[in-house]
Amino acid sequence: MPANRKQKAGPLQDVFLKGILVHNPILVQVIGICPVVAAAVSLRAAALLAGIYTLILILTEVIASAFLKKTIRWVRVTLYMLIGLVVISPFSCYLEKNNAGIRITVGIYLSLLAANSLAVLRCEKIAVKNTVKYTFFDSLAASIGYSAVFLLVGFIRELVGNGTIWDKPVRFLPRASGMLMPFGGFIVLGFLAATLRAVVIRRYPQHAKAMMIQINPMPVTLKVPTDPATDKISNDTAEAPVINTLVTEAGTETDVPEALENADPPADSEPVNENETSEAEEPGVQDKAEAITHGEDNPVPSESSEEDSGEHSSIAEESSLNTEQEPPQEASQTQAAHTDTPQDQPEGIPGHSNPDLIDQRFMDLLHFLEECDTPSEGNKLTDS
Amino acid sequence: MPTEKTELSAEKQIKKHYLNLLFMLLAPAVMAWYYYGAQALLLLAVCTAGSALFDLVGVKFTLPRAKPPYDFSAFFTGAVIALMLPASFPLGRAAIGCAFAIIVAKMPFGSTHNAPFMPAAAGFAFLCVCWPAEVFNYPAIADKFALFRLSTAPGVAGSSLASMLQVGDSMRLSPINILHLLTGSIPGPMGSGAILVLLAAAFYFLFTRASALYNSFGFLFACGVVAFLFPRGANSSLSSLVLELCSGSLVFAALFLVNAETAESPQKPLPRLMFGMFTGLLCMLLRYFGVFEEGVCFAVLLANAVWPFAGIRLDKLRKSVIKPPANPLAEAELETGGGADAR
Amino acid sequence: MNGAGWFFDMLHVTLYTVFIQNLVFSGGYGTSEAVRIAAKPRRLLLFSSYIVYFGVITSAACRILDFIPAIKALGDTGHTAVFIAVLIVSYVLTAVLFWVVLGAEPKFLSQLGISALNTLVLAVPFINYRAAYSFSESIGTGIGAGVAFFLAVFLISKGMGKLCANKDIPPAFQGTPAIFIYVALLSLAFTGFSGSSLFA
Repeated sequence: MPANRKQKAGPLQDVFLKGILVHNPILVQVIGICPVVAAAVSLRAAALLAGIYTLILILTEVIASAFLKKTIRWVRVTLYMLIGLVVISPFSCYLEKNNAGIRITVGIYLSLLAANSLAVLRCEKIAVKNTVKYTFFDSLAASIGYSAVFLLVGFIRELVGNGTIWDKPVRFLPRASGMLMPFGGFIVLGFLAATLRAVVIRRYPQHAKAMMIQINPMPVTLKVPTDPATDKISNDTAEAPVINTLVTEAGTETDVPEALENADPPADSEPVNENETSEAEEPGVQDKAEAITHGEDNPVPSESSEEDSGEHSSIAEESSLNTEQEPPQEASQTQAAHTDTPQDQPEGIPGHSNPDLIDQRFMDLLHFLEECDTPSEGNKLTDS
Repeated sequence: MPTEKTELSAEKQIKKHYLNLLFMLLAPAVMAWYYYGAQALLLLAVCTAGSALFDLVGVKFTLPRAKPPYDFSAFFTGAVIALMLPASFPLGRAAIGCAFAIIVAKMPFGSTHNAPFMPAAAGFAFLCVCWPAEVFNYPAIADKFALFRLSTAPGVAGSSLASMLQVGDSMRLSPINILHLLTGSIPGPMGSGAILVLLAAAFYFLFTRASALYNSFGFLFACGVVAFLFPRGANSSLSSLVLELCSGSLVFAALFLVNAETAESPQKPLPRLMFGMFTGLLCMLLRYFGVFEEGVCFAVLLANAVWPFAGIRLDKLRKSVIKPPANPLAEAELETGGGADAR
Repeated sequence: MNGAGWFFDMLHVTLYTVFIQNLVFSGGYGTSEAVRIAAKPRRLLLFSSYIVYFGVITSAACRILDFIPAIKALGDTGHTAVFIAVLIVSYVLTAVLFWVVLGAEPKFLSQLGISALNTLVLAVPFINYRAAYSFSESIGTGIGAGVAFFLAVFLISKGMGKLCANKDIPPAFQGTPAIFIYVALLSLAFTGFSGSSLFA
């Protein structure tokens, strides 16, 4: 079919585009920040750590995909750490003997790469659910995205903080040594993330909705204010702090990301199947109850599970309200969440002055976090 | 629902607020000019103009289609940073600090009013961390008043009162010493040493923003109590009180940093007082145990971060302690079983 | 050894790792987990407790193992292997305990894994090793890691609420960019105590 043929034409391109830009591990998914903010203080250190971590990530994902699919999850995560240790050890030994300077520069962060959450996330989300070939390309894409940010941060911080590039002095700015501290790393990450957002919104608007992978800054106590006349989410949503607990039609409280996960995928997304390799753009959240240990890779509602329940009706109402106010990137959530009236996929991103749009953006992507703890299954040891 | 009229009124109020603050800053600016010559004015001009320029450019980049109302907050930010710096501070680095304040602490959050941290405090903190030697090396006061002198003596480490207190030195107070302390005739930040002038400027608050003085009073009260109870060095309690309050940028910060309006600034008098006291405690903790001789900007940042939680708790405590007066009409309705719910 | 001395050593290091050199803000450890947990802070106390538990267990075990001359003579790479092995063993034993004795579900064990196998907990024995802390000071670092995490997540969570309510944030900065910059300014605020990054 033409649609499938078109999708088959560039799955690799999409995998790389998403892995590097749309679902960039650091700038979008907020994973693996520790070595970037603390150790990427020079281009040399960043290159070293990025290179080693690329190796760790690819090896870990490939091994997980090839051999660890049947292993119990809570045992599997320890094996990822061991794989990281096996990769790091020869480099660490070599640097201790031959280049102590750079070894001191990277400090303990070289060793901490073994505990980096990115590998665990990618393995649990993608590697154990896909073939080795797909996993290899996906891990390559993610590591390119991760390394690119690593190198950029290292470059900028060395230039601004030390006045050097690759230890060669470049003196056209006063050296702001504060940029070598962790807060400098966060600042650079913040501006890189903003630049990435702007670029994706402008150049790849069709992916912008999939990029709304943000930490949801919400308190957990408020209910969605509903307009009693229409029984829809009222405009006060724009005023009220955004929530992550909704009162559903069933009268039970549920977490927004769980509701998002329960929603149907939008029309243009493909359901992810372990048997599909090149056709699958993204591995989906096939098993909603299977919480990964380190967060969600792709929180877009299109990856939500096939399970349908009434619990997402509130988010559906909210999404439809936002759709009325024309935020195109919200349409994915609307489509995902609204089971009764699937809507056309909008294109592009609208103007930015819509307050509901702003709140809706902040409401995105909880299942990126909620994969850690989906509280739907009662108060056992799982719940605090 | 805010109407266009109320929005315009709010914009005018914000603009007026910052213009008032800029007017108040004229007094310490004049004192800086008197002590350090035109170099002080040049630093002030570079900081204010730089902040305004970065603000305009930032708005152009981040909100290309919007035209937010101009509220002079960038000028205020630049002026505050300049007046807390030594007159010998390099102009380029001062501009970088202002750029940090605007581009990092203000621009990503929209407006100064909505910024979670006070931009001027963030900018000054950045300068402290990046160039601590230059920030805390103060030039000597000029012997003669030279209106157009564009150079100052180089900054000298350990010349300020705050650094003297930090290393545990003491000073015997005499009327002449106290006069020098109050008039700012000692090395220190160029605009924040003239205590008398600042206190005179504080009178202006009485007519424009009387409620803001709660913050300042709470801040100074807390600093004074800590200084009195825990004197540094061999100073007596009273000497410590005078020396600590006159050192660094304490009084200046009390007037222009602690009562700045940010996203979560308290509005009512008691929370303002408590916020000021909380910031004062943090400031003294940083002075006593921190790395820098002046930690007020870091204290303001920490208070901005922590206060929302503390403010909510205080509000709940206040409501539980101060109960509203009983409404006889409501009580009568309850007794008879009437009221809105019953209908 | 004097019990009071032990306690004050431990307390001193705990306060140091929480306020003077907050492990999250001044060292960047566990930042990913902190930002993510900050978005759903209701599990914060439990998560922080787990971090304290694993931090203390790992600190104690690594410190005890360091008394063995063969292990003490190992270089950085050898110590890395030892620390990771200790952390994994402590996690597995704890998970088995919860699974067998308390009947915990796999989801809970996964959450336990997040709190155990992260850069913050793994950094604790490295910090103890680099700073040559005594046994009680090492325990203080473990406790301080959890408390520092709690404080960091608490502050970030409050900030997220403010950012959420702010409608003036430019579109390019909405979401993670604003959060990154907020965390940056928090980290800058904590620099007033430390002045620089000690743990490197």
